Amino acid sequence: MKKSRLIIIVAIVALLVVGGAYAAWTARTTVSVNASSGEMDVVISSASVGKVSEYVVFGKNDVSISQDKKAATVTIANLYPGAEANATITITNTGTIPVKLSGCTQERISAINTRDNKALSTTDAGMLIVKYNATAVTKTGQVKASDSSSATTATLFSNANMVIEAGQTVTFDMQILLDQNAGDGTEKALYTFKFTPMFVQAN
Amino acid sequence: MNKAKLVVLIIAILLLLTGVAYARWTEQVNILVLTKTAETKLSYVDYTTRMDGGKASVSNGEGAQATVVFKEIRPGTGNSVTLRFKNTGTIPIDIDDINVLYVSGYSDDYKNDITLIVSGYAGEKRFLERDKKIHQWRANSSSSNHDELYELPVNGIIEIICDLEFDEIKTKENNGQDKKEDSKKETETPDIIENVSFVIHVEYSRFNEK
Repeated sequence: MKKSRLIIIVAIVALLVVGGAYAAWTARTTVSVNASSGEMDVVISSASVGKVSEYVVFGKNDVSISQDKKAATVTIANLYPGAEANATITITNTGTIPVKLSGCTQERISAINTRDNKALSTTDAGMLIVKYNATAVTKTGQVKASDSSSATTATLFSNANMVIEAGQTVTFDMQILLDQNAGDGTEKALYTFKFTPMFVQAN
Repeated sequence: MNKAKLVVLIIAILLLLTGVAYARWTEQVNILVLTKTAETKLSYVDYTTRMDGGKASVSNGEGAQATVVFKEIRPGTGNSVTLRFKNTGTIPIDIDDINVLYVSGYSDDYKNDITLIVSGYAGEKRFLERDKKIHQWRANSSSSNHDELYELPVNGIIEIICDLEFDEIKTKENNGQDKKEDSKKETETPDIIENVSFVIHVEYSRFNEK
């Protein structure tokens, strides 16, 4: 037998052995993977009343959180030009992964005169101003951002870049005020708007 | 790898990344805010009179104004009507001025003999007093004040006292006569009867946060 043929035969045998060994190992090895996905969830964990101007009616019973903690209702009465009411809404990341505040929307649902249920003029409707201060607890510490709007619809905090770790919070201080120069058309009016903070997974 | 294949590969990677982005989880919460604003309102309540003679009445009392009518008033008398206004709004209001409008009814012969004194009271506190001949009120109805006279709290009441004084008329017969003849003078005074009407309008403005 030639030397070269011998080498080929040895190589083939060796490959067969390796193959056999490989087959044997794969047959016997069980890799058990328990992959459970993370959970993303945020809830309104608390709501409180801050500074309230004299004669404005706004107490702790005027802030309520829904049972599923996904919604809150704030009711303020007797607001007048130059007066303000402050509320603080705290949102907690109750999931298992960090979440990022992607932005907030403010949408005016209605602005009507309650005497005749007619819509306020554009000028009068724009006299209710809402100022927001957001404070998030992030990996690197507290991050703050501010925004405000009196528009019919507005996108707020779109560049806030707040990443809230699991178990941490973001707090929105809301200052609701009627412009000092609000005219008689804003008397006995009802303003209704919705503020919606939106979150996405951070990674 | 040729150029076409490279382009295809890049597009494939981009599509994959897009797929990952769409697959991101999202969450949101909603905060509904209802805000009711205040109301300012001053309302006429009622009136009282104090008469030396003649009659007085108040009509068309609505909102921040009322019409006052004095009838059959005679010289040498002082008559008074007190109007009450209440803050029926939901916040304090600033009383800015009291106007006397549409003054009429009297004759020109005695326009200098009739004086209308308008005073504004909040409890014991007098915040306004204006004293003018009746025709002067006609010329200038305002008390000329445009600053806040008084801040009236919710449910607070102000009283506007309208004193109408009709001076003793000096006739040719009694001018320069002795005091001893006073009784005679009275009997010589002709029978003068005047009527006066006017509208009291309270100017007020919304309370502003200071």
